[in-house]
Amino acid sequence: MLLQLINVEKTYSNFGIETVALNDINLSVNQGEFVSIMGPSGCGKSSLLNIMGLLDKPTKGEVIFLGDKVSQSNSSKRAFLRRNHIGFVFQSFNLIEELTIYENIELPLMYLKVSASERKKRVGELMERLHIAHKSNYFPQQISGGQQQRAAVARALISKPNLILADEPTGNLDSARGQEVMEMLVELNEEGTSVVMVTHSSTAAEYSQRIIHLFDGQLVTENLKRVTN
Amino acid sequence: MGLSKDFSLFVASRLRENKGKNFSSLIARIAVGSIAIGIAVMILAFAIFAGFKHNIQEKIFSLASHIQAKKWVDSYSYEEIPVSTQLDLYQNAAEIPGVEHIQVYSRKACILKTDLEVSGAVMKGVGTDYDSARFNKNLIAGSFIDLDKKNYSTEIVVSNNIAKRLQLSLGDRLSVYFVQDPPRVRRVTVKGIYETGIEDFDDLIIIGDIRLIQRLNDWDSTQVGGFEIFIDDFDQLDVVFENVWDAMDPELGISKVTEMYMQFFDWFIMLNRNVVVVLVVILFVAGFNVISVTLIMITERTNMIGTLKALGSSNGQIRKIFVYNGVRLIVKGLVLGNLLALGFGFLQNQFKLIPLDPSNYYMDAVPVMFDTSVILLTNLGFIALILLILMIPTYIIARFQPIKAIRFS
Ligand SMILES: Nc1ncnc2c1ncn2[C@@H]1O[C@H](COP(=O)(O)OP(=O)(O)OP(=O)(O)O)[C@@H](O)[C@H]1O
Ligand SMILES: [Mg+2]
Repeated sequence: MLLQLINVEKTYSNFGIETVALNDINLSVNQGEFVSIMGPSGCGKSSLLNIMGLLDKPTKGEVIFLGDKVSQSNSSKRAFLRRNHIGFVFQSFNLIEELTIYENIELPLMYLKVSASERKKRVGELMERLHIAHKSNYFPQQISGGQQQRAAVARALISKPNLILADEPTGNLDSARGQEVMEMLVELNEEGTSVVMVTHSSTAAEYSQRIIHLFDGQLVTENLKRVTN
Repeated sequence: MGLSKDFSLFVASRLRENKGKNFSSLIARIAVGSIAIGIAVMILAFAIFAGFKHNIQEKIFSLASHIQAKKWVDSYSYEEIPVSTQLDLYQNAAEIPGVEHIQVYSRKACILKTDLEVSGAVMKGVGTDYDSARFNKNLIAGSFIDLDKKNYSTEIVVSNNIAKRLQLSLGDRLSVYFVQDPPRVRRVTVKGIYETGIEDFDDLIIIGDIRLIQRLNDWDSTQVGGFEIFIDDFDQLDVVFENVWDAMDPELGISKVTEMYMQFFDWFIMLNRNVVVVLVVILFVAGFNVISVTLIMITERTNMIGTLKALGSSNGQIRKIFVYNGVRLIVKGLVLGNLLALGFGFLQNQFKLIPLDPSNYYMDAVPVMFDTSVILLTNLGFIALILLILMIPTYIIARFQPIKAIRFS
């Protein structure tokens, strides 16, 4: 098992106002799975993804990542796990606008201390594969949204993570670009990377094996879509 | 593609290339400007201070030697006790390491009297060994007394203050009453008028022939009031003082100019408190600007910080990005500031951009005297301090939750 959440609760408190974003969530993700999370706005999808990605700590409950209890680990331990095992794809791409596409994708390798020649090789191959090699020296603002999201996916992938977390990766794309990105995620998933994706789109969710429905911070249903061998 | 190995340095270098479109680039320019002005003002303050100090000290050396030797007495005596020019110290001074010149002097209290006015004074008698070059810079009218006459000279040089007080001009004759028992009087002629700007001298000292004092004191030609010793390098005063101490005859006592005129040599006494306040304010402003520009840069880039955290960068790595950026501002500011200070100093010394009224100050233009080690130290101190200040705002990065940073983008 890659990731397990046990009785996870998340409460935000701002200026004395408490918002319960997640309530008693039990959930696990196996290596190689493709899971979608769906639900109405404000039901806690992003909160759940943040906890799964070790970006945020649960208020209560336990998170087990690769066999380790990590819900209360310190920030450098969690940064280490993110750096080595988790890739993120955001709705708004979040490429760093001062860096070229090439440099954005290369970035995670730089703090993994991968040698320059190895970086060059891996980034080049991946860009080739995601059909953005010709945009290598462009800056994010200079290329289309679809290309930006592919670059963001490439950046999430470059460190060969076990898990990719995507928060509405197609949310800012038209359906054709959205489909491209989904096909790419499926392809990665078929190569063994686990994918957890938040989405509003049932078309996008169709690509996954399992759909988790959230409502008001609670897990309502889980349906199996597709079975892998 | 020349990619730097260090992640933080790399990102920092790219942030800079993308300047010109953010609010922070305006603030950055203000910060660079304030650092530049800050360092320039500091360097100039020290250089002008050094210039004043140097000028004032030169004035002092024109009437007081680096080291003074006279008969050692254990109680204050009004009358000078003579020492002999036959003493080893005087005869062999040139052999003492660091000593440049030795000359005799004698002092005698007197009262100057014209038909209208009276004024107290001290006559400083000098001999043929007197190095008048140093003193002559202070002459504003006439010339130095002629010491080559066969008999003692009755010429004197008076200060401008005394000349004004007694309404004396060049060539005027007046009576000098020497205070002794019984009092004696001599008629003398004003040969020159000097001005040092230092009241201790200008209110009191007139220059005359030492032979006149010898005669009045009933001394022979080997008897003098004391010796004035000049040394090669004023910075070596303490060392040479020891050398003189070792070489001198036991009946003598010596003292340093820095002790006799302490108020002109003590750095801390001279450094006006207002100057210190101004310097502290400058540092404070520069530090404040660096803090605000760094804070603005950080808040402008919450999105990037959040993304970097999500990708697994450590807080330290992200913090370094902003520290590097700050360092770049500091270096830019320092280079500019140093150029500004050196440029201004050069122009001031060449063209006297800021003149002074010599009657109120001791010189005609603001003096600027650079000292490489002082400039270096000022820069180093500035860097250290601003770097320290720069660390403060970067600590808030650790408190950024990655999700929040991304969420609010
Ligand atoms: N930092 C925060 N402080 C306070 N409340 C928060 C914070 N983040 C989220 N919330 C609240 O927690 C609840 C769940 O938010 P979350 O963003 O996880 O929902 P979501 O399902 O991702 O919504 P959407 O589909 O609009 O992205 C919401 O009520 C939200 O207002
Ligand atoms: Mg959301």
